[in-house]
Amino acid sequence: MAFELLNKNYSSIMQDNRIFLLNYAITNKNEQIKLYINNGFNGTDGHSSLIVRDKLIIDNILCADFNENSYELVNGITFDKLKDITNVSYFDIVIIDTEGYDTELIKMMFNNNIFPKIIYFETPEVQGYIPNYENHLEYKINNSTDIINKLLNDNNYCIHKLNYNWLCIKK
Amino acid sequence: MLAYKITAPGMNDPDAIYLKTKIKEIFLNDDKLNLLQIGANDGISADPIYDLIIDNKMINAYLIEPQKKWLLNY
Repeated sequence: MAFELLNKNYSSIMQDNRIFLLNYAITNKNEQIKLYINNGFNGTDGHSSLIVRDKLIIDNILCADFNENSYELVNGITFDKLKDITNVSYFDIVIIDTEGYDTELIKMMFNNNIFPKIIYFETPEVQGYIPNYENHLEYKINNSTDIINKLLNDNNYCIHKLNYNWLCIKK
Repeated sequence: MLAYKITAPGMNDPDAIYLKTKIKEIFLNDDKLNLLQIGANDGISADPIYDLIIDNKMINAYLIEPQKKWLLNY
């Protein structure tokens, strides 16, 4: 949602020089990328995604309504580039909320040898796809809980399944 | 059940409280921490750790957010 508001909401402690705001999407290419807009309920204030999510209706409310023609172009960067920009090679805590792209990010993170002590992300049930997938890792995003369970277990994470999120702690 | 809330969870959501409890259990008060938040939104709405970042001066927070503006304001 709102990089400008992010800046404003942290303005009171920006003088501490410990808050670093980065107007990017993390992905597998250092190039502009499409951020798809959710035209569903409340969708425009923060539920954009790098994937075209499957339609989702809950209690007769259209919660997720994406299409390939509704997007904005944003700057994509890789984890490698992020390390260069921040001059940080290790993160203790990683919190992810990317509307269905979380699993892809965890894969990329591990591939870049980033293994935080704590990873926190939304329960991996959102499904969708990436158009023009030749530039990306996957076409159909597979957020199967079995796959992400295995990925985390193989990398020695203890998984706490909460109400709407998974909290994963490195053993 | 799908992990999707129509109303945004926030700092006082039970999941967020559990996360912060675990962070305080695992890390010492004077540990310098690098925190990466991918999809930081506006920093407050639906954000589990805004209060922790504000209060804990040992946290360096790297907040990533691609969307420039609330589209409602366009």
